[in-house]
Amino acid sequence: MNPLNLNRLEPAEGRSRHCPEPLSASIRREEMFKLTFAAGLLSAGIVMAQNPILTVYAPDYFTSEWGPGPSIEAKFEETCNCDLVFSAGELLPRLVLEGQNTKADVVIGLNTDITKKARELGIFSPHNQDNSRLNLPVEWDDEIFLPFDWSYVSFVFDTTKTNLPNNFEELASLPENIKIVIQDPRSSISGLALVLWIKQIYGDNAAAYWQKLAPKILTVTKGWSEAYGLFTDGEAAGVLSFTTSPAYHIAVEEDNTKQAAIFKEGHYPFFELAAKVKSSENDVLSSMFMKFILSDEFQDLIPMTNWSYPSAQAVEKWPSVFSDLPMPQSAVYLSENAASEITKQAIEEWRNALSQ
Amino acid sequence: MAKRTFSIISNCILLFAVFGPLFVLIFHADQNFIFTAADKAALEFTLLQAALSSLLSVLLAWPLALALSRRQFKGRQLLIVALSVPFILPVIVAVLGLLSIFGHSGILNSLLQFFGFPILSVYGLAGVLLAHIFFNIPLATRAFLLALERRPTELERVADGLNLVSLTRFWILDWPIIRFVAPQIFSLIFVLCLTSFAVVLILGGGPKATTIELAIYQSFRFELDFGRAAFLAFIQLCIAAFTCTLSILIFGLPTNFNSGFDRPMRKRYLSVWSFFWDFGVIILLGLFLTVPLISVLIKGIQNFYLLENTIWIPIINSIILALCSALISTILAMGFMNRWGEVVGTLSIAVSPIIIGAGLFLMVRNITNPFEITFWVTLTVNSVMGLPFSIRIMRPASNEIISNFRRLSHAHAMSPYAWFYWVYLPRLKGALTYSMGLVAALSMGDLGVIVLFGGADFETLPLVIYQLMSAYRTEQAMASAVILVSISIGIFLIFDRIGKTRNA
Repeated sequence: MNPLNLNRLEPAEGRSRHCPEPLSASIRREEMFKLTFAAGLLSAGIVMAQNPILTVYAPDYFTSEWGPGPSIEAKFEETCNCDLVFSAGELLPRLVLEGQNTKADVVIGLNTDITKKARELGIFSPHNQDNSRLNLPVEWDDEIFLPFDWSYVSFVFDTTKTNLPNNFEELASLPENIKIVIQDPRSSISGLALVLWIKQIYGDNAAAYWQKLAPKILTVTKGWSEAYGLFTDGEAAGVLSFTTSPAYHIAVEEDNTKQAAIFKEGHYPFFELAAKVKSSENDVLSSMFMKFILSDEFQDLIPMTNWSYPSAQAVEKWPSVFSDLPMPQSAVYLSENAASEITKQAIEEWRNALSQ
Repeated sequence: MAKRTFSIISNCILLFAVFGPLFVLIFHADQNFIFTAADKAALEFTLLQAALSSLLSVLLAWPLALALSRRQFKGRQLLIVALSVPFILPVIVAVLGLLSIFGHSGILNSLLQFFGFPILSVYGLAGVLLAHIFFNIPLATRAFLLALERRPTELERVADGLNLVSLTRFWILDWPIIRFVAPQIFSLIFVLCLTSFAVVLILGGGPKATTIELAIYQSFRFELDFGRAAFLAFIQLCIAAFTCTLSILIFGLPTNFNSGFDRPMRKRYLSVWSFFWDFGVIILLGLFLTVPLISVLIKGIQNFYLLENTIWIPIINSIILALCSALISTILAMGFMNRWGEVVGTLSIAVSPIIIGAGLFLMVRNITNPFEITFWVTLTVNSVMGLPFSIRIMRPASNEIISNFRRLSHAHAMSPYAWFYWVYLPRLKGALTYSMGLVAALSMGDLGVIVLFGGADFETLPLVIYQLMSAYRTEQAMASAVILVSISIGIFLIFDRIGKTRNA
């Protein structure tokens, strides 16, 4: 689908007329107003310099007070001479709806599984950062999307209830009363990652494997948080989550019983990405922010607030809770084209197998 | 005349806020009217679960309402209020409460296991129905109860005096109420279940329990295919419209009890058998509805120490939002006080909030950016979502006042304002305040559009609970949910108290 179709019904000149005035102009006007106001009140007023604003669209979990947003905002504002404003909510649907009128300068919190759609929108510009600074389990050569953190998709178990399975076959043959909760691939990114992971490992036998796994699956939830809630509430012994999830329980709750199963077949890596919005008039600031993402200041904040690995740091710099976590041997990675080719079939196989 | 004008204005507001966005979205996006095999399976399941859920809720609510109406006991009022709680809780919290009883590791299965029985799985159609009944029995019970309380008490006295057998008694006294209230409640619950999605998925146990709403969400969020999302939303709207119209056309006959002296009845003599029946119903359904809540309360309260001071801002935001929505919704509802108004008013909850949000955006994007006026967008959506509840609560009362007092007032040559102020309003007060209390509570608990279109500048309590859940903090989320419920109950009780004060 071409997102510009949303604008097609409007005359071209209409679009430019409704285009918001350049940021600099609005700032200038505000400054003028302040100047007159100050001059009116005091004969020698001190005019406060208004900082330019960098608008960053991010998901709710990112901007919430328990996410990395607030500390990142504070750190970046120390050096940028600007005002970083997070705007929480859905990312892509919102960008498509806003079209050329978007206020976003940078978008943070996209996932690899939707980059193809995002790229096709044509609304992002290259990040211009040195990809070789990244420390990821796969070669990263994307010009547009810059990973800021990553983790492996994995099953997290309560080890007081079961032993950890070592591969997919062992997962499917866990004792009868040990159940897992997964997410729906149609409404959740991590759910989709699992379906692609299994499809990549089992290929044509994926449907058969899903049928074998089906009795283990207690239920399927809309999103990650519902599934994880069921798990922490004790309803299920295992949950589809990330290899880094146990870090939260170890670091915050001092609970070592929740562990991620490491599979011999390799794990599906999950990257969270940032991108610069093409229509942004704040190119200097957004470039600064992209650079900031790869800096140690930013990367240091990621593990303990977003509970994932930083994308551009050597393992030695990670908090020990993270470097001590067991690490999968290999990554089962799909390029966005490969992923989009099998997505539809993989979801269909999943749906059929679990609908029986 | 003023009434007609007001009715037209209310309808226009609804059109602008609900149907406008849907059609704008359909015509703005690429039109993608494909209905796949998966959609067909989803549609079938949606209809099945919605029909069964609403039927069961109504069937179970009637005996409960009847029992509550004829019995007085300590804690009755508290029970009635507690009945409204499931409705307010954030979905996942309510589900966790239910699962603590009926789940794989719940109390029921622990007991079964202890006595050597195999574990029962709640997941599947049964789970979906269980959850929907849990959410909706209270709603139906309250509606029946309101109607029963409005029935002239003289009728019962006469029936007692005539010593009517129970079947005749049912036919003359109860059936007219059921005939009038049941279709209204059935259609409301049907539409609520039609658009349910997170609950259905969790308790349905997998993709066989998929509703159309999931496909809408998927198209909108993942595939960015707004045309298809709007098309599916339109199908959902048509089903809702069809059901509401049908239920009203076939069954929705008005109750024609004459007016009594408007006096409460003090004492009634009932058989011993009915005593056991009534309390059996109250205890069984009462336990079913309150035990999951108690489990939520226990989990929440023991985690209170985790709460942070920052929670006050979302609390205040939520209260303001709830009170405003309640006011707007209740005032708007007065413009829909007839059969067709009820159908139209119900359709507002048949359109998913994401569609309303997206469509509203397209409608106003040349004037302002709705993402910057989150409060107003959320207020609009919440008020409109409360409308069907307000209409259903107030319409029966309103109809009765009109049929009982209209002619008398005409005979006294009352001016419309005198009629409204001295006759109509005081008698509507009970329903009016209940409507405001319920909508406020609903709005308190509604995550709604804010999760899709929210901004960092306006956080509500449900949003905070959702954020906590996404940040591994389930315990803190449970504690916040208890705060949410307490405030909702508080607001609800305050409105209830206002409704009980007699004036005029």
